[in-house]
Amino acid sequence: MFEELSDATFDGRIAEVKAGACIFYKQLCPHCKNMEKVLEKFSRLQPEVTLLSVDIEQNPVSAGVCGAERAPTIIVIRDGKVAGRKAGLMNPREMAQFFDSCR
Amino acid sequence: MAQKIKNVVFIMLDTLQFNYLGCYGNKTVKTPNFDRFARNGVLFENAYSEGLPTVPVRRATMTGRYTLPFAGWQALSSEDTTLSDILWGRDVQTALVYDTPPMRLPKYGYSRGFDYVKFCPGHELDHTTFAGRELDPSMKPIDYTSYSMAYNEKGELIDDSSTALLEEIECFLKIRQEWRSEEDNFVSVVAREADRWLRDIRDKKRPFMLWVDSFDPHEPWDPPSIWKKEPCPYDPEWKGNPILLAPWTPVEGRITDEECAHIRALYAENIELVDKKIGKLLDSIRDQGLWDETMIIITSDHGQPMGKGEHGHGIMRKCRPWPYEELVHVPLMMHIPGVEGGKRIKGFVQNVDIAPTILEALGYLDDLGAQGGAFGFPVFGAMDMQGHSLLPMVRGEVEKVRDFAIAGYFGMSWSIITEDYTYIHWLLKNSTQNDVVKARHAGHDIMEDEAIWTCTVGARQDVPDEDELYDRRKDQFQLNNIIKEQPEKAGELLKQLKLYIGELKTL
Repeated sequence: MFEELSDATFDGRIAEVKAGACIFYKQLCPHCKNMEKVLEKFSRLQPEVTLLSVDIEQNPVSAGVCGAERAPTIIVIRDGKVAGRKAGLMNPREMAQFFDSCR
Repeated sequence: MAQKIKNVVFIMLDTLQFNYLGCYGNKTVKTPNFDRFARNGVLFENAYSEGLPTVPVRRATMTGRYTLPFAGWQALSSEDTTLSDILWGRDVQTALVYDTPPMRLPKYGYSRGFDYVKFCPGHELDHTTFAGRELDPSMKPIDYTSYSMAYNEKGELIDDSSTALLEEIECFLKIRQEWRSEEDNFVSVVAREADRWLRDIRDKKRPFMLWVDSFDPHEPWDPPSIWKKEPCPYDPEWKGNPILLAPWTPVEGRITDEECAHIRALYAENIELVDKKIGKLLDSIRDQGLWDETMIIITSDHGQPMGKGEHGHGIMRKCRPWPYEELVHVPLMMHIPGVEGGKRIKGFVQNVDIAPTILEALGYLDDLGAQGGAFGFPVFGAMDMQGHSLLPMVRGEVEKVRDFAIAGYFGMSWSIITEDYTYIHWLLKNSTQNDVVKARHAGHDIMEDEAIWTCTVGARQDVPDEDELYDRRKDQFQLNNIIKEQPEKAGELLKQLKLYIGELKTL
């Protein structure tokens, strides 16, 4: 469900995405695992949204560029550009509202 | 599932303990209608209610959301989205026929959104509707329970539970004195009213979802033999008073083993009556030609502690917040048009799965969000549901919908049930549930008396000091705590349980 990106692929892939949400996570973070489930539920509401993921510790460049210091951080992508950023847990309803607010 | 499901009948039978049914392995209690229903339909062997008791179970079942991490016995809130909320403004007409007293107050919200609501008054916790009636002087409450449960050797009432017990019996007798036959029993009335809606009241051109909520076989334990003055068929040698009710207390020193056994016998006979009356309702659904287009679900909210060991871990009625097997494992059976009968499904299922299953059957599960309907008339979707539709498992598309079940009492106990183990984590050690409720709802003393998990005098929020681990394969009813022998397994399960509760708080 999540397409895993790295520092090498991040910029190129983001540029192609029309509508997407990317989670910056840390491997041992339990909140990140919960947030992935939230995003899975959110994507059932918005099936056209591409789900992406980046391991913060393995990919410091992309995480730094996107300001993803805390895990989890979610960025919303619209027409190939980062349109919004939010750190911390959200529920699916909050995620949907956040996504809609990033225009 | 080629056949189209047009309607749903959901039947909740309060306090129907799974292992009293023939289809769940009982060899004594006669439940031919439930057994036939299961034999020709789908039976779920491992169905568990999550948040106990009555009211949180209704909320979980109606909303498809877990209650255990969030709240216990309290009103439905405007944040909750129920099945009837989702079906409001759709073609499906909805009806609720019930006598379950804790659901009765419209203000409490559990009748919200149904197109048709019929409450049949009088059952156990309805202490008000008939309170003004005179009791026939020949009927004395103490003649309908054991003297020694209410009075000590000096002839004095033992405690507050004694007073509550006699008042409860008196309240019931004021209604019972007017009954003339089995047709007047609570379950008979509810089944008849449900049938009346199906036959005479509903719009026959529209699909429907009928929710039948019968408080029977919940106590009072008043099966027909008592009124016919015949021996109870499950305890024919009993010589004492009938025991319509018993105090909400630990049994040691208060209720003898023989009395507990007699209570269980009366309960079994009550179940026999429920089987007969629900069987009659099922026959009527068939006679009306609805069988092949109607999904029917039969389940319960919980079982009942009634004695020692596997019968109740030493308590009578739900007087402690203890989520053991006899309480939390529930029957769940379905008739699903187009699905071949005789299936017994082992995968863990929970009451939160019922609402998504009903919505999938009616074709509304994929409709997730609130939609702005025309002219400001929004309809709601299933977005907030945490349960899973069980139809993919019934169709054989997936083997399971979850790896384990959870159960417990909000703020007091959590348990995790896996194929191999059950683990019980006691939360309430130095606080009361009201402390938890107040912390979560600062500034709101929400329902000071009703936010508790049970409404009776004898109920106390006592829990054991140590967590418990049981080998579920050898010790299904949790009698031999092995936490000291397997501390690592216990730690692993506690971690899994806490992570899952955390996940549910997010989703």
